[in-house]
Amino acid sequence: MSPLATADVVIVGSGVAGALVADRLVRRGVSVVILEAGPPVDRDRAVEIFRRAPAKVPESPYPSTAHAPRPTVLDIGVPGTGYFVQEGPEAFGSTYERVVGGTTWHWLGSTPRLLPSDFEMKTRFGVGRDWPLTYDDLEPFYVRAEKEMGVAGDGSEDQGSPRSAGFPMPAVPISFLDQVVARAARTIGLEVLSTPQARNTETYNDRHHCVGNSNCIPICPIGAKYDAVIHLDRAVENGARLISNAVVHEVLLRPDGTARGVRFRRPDRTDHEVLGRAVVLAAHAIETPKILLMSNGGRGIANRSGQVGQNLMDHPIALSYALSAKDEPVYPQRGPLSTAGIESPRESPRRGQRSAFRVEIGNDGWRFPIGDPTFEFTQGPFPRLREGGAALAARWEDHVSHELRFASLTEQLPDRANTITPAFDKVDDIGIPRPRITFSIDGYTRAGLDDAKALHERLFSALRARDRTHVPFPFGAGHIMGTTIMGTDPTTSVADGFGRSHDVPNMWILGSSLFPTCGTANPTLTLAALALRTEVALNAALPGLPAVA
Amino acid sequence: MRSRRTDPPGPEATIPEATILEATIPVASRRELLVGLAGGTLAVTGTDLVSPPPARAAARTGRVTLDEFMELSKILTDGEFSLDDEPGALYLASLTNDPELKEPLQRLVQDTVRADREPSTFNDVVRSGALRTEEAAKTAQRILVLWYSGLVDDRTADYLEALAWQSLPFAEPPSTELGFPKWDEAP
Repeated sequence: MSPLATADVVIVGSGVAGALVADRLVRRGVSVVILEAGPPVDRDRAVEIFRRAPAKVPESPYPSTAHAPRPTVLDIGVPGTGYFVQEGPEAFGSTYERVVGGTTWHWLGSTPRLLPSDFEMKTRFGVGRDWPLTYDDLEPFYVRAEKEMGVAGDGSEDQGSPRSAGFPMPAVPISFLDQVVARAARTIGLEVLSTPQARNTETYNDRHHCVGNSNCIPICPIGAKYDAVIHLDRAVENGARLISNAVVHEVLLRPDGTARGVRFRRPDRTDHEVLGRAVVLAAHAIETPKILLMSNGGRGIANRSGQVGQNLMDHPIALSYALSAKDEPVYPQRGPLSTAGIESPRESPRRGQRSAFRVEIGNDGWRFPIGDPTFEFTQGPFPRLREGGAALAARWEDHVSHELRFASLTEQLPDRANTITPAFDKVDDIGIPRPRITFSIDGYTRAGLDDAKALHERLFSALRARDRTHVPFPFGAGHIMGTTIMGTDPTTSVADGFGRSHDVPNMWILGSSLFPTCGTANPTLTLAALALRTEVALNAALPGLPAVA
Repeated sequence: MRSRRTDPPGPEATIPEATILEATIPVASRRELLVGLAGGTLAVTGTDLVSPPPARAAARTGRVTLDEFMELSKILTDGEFSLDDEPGALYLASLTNDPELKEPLQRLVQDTVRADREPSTFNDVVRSGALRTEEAAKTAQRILVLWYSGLVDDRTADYLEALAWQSLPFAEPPSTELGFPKWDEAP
């Protein structure tokens, strides 16, 4: 088979990690081909599709294609439906996009850093694993990632992660709702901090500042929230070649065990190859391990440890919602969907026994637990009220103006029994195995979920909140991690501290699949910082890599 | 574990193009199309394309016209909102296609829009006795749910103008601009 293209570096996946690395490599003069399984997205068209969608779920604006199917929140928990082959015992609740730009299209935009202790869970708390790098090793790349993505934050607040530089932009103002919660939280000894976020508060890199479209999930209509298309476009302008609708299903190896390229499938089921001196897998924490395990005739590659596809993690969410005190409306449904949180539980003294967590304060009313207000109105008491006219409108306004919700992200420990493997017996429409997932949440995380609910209840009491509900099951956070974890020992990890495969010396992995443990920070900034660190190492290694074969 | 940001189960994001009434349709013919849709006659004949007479002059019995439905909707919402006849046609079609609501809707129109003394508010309707039966009350509730939700038959008829958003003076529907940083103070 003659290759469709050749390049110094072949990158699989066009999300934030792949886009950042492509952008920097081409600016150094390195030739790059980026392969993306899904199609490009037209922002204006996607906004229109969102508005027409009856269910305003994270995936609603984006195309679901036969050749690059993806999970949706509507499928999760409905046995036998959707892209995932869920083997239980619990349903894995997080989803991702397979489009040009990846899941940064529908991410929230929150960019807290990990804490220094998150890198040393084994040493400090006796659970999980240590990372093969420290917070200090990554800190300069956090700074770089914040600059690349455009992070707004308040440098005067102590978020627990020491900083060597200020934020690129002033903080996103916290909401009126946050301020009400902050006053109540203070009475029980808790502090509300503004959340760093990749959202413009001023014109930044020619992108407009946020104007409060209140729709970060599922789509920012004006691109004020960072998405990977920014770096993809720049990479392509500088010479990178982006091939969309190209579903990579195999890494090709030479007899000496080095990678020579990848094989991908088109929607018409034809297979093609792209060859390079280095291969970079940046297809997120489900597709990346799946590609590795499908390679070599389904026997897998880069798996001396046996841990490719294992240690699947999420940030299981404790979700609670209520109405604020009758005399204290909070006026949600305005501004970015979250602008503040409570961070102190991230550094719990009982972390060896119980998961830490961070509390995200929602500005989106009950959209998360119930749905968009247009759907919410069809639920609960409103459809049964013998009321109409101005009285009904006033009752509805009063209800929505008091809506509160808290979502606490807990940490999961790496567990080899939580896996993603290719379902060779259940293939998609172009014959590629779907992801088979086994997943459960252990007692460590469940203890953290209980602690989070207890804290939510204390907050509700401090707020004199009414109609309190603590959802009795955890939600997926959309934070898919583990599955190709990094470490210093090739027998217990898949890649080294720079994301370089222990077994295939000219192959690198990018993304949250590398995380040995997951801490409690939303993962995108950390995976971006890791990607930028990898790019430096990869570029330094390039002269010694084999020529294109 | 459940998924983040759940909403109701429903069909995938897109709506068949045939159900989207594009703004480029000339006003007169667009109106005619809506009338046909409301009457369940999208494959219209020549006579279907004749605009109906105004509600007050309509036949005192028979099929509920779009004008009558819009008038009833205005009364049930106290005339507080701008109601668009494009989603209105979809709501009317849904109601008249529901065997449990078709007759009660007709009676409700008979007792309100077609009455000699037409009520002007929801409370007027209550006082008139038009909602005294369970069927009539449920029909009125159903009409209000349609206008507030903008959802009909598992599809979105109208999102940005749905009353669930229009009735919130402090917010704007997601994907439309509130202004920077208006969220940081009380409205």
